Amino acid sequence: MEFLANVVTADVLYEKLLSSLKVITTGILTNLESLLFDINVLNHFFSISLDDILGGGLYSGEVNEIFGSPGVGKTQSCLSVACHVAGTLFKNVVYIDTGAGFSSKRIHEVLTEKCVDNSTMNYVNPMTRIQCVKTFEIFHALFVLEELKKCLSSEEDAFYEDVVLVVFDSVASIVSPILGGPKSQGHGHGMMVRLGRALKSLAYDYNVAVLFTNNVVSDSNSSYTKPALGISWSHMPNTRIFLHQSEQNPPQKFMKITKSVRMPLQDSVPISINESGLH
Amino acid sequence: MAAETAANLFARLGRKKSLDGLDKILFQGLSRPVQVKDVIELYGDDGSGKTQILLHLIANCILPQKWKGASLEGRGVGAIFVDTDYHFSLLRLVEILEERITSCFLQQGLPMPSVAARQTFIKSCLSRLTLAKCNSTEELLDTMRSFDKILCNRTDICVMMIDSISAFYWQDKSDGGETYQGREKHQKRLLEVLRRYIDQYYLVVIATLPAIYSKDFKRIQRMDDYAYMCRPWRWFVKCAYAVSRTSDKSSTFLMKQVKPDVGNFVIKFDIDKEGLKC
Repeated sequence: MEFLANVVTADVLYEKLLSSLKVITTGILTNLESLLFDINVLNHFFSISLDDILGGGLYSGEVNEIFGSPGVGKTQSCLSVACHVAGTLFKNVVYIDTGAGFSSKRIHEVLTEKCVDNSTMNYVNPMTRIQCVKTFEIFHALFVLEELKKCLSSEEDAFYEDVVLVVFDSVASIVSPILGGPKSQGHGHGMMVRLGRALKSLAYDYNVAVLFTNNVVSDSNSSYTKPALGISWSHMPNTRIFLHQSEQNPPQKFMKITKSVRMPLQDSVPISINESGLH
Repeated sequence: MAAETAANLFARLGRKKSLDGLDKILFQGLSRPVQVKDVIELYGDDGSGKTQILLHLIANCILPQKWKGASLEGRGVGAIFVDTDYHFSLLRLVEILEERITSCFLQQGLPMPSVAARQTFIKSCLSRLTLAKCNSTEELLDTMRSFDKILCNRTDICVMMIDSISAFYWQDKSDGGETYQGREKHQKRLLEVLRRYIDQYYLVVIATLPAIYSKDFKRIQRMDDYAYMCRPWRWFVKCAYAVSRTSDKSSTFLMKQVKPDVGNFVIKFDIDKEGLKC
């Protein structure tokens, strides 16, 4: 009986979903003034924000992926979303860091800027709403996720009751080293799928949104890049967001949804990065 | 299994008739409409529309034929959806149902029922759908085996969908050791259960198979071009389709029939708010 899944009819689940669904805004708004006007951007003059193309934001129960080349701003996106959740939505974030990219200094900077903007200094310091776990190899990462599930279900620590977002930055840096090799027998892929499933069940069973980042590799069939970790991984995320920069004007970035189970795929959204995170 | 009276048997299987081919356009390449005991496989890359096709077919199943005078082109039959990839979005299904109902009423020029009436109606449709999410091979197998009771009691269930059938392929492979027997034992057990259900309860089984090796859609002619599941599964599948998105930007998709082979018959469809449009 231990291994039996919970079998329900869809109307019961729908009722449950309506009461438990959380839509977490990313706080990445398109600010027209901050746009650097080049021809590409002019097409987006009346553009919409990332939340619009995501259907309101990140949904609890889903896993989302941001992928892009090194230095394009994946970690910045994660930090920015985490700050928005902590500083504006007053909810908690667990940040799992595999590449030592987490910077509390940067978090502090973004939060200070944000709070000056909105002039809403909250009584609980938003920085206590973000917890960071560092892990550098896949077995430890799986252990961390397992521990996190225990914490989320135990209700002992008040912190975990308010967790709505889990950030995992990045999957590629801990999965890539174990993939391939002449005698791997698919063990690397097995571990990768295990990690993906752990993230999925974390999102669904504990009603949180999961956001992870992935690298890109060059595509042998074309001059473009494609997400790393191959085809088996590509089935993992519910939503995939491609972060890339404008060729003419590198500080100008764009986000584009390349896969979604809920939303139609639309045009890119312009993004820029400054002191107060992403805009 | 407990003995069953002829009257019960008749009640159980006699009702199973109203499938009406499941979908008139998607399966037009077949020489006869889809009927019970068929096994359909949908193969494709990520984002190629496999789950969306399933949602469309669920809508076809759980909507009744008529509601308040409007023809909804549904079948009013029950379905079981086994979600191993966690891609099933109930909100998306509700959106498809909403859009489909409103467009049917608009097209047929009938007065639109109130929002509350539509909501209650949609919930009544949703009660025909049974959902299970599975997160490991063992859980999938045990859950599948436990469906006997539901299938026995709910005679209206005609369709079982598994999205996806190969979700635990890599784990099974890495846990299974050196031999094929070890790696494929879970697939074979699953197959046994499905085979029994099909015979006993007259079901249509629809399974998705995500691509795990890179394959060019244009080059896919037969099942062997992409297959990685065990051989008995390949024999078990009666109709196989490969799906693909035409380009990154468009919402137009292609569905190619690869078994039974009819010279690669391709159907083009769009996906919008209302679901599939051919």
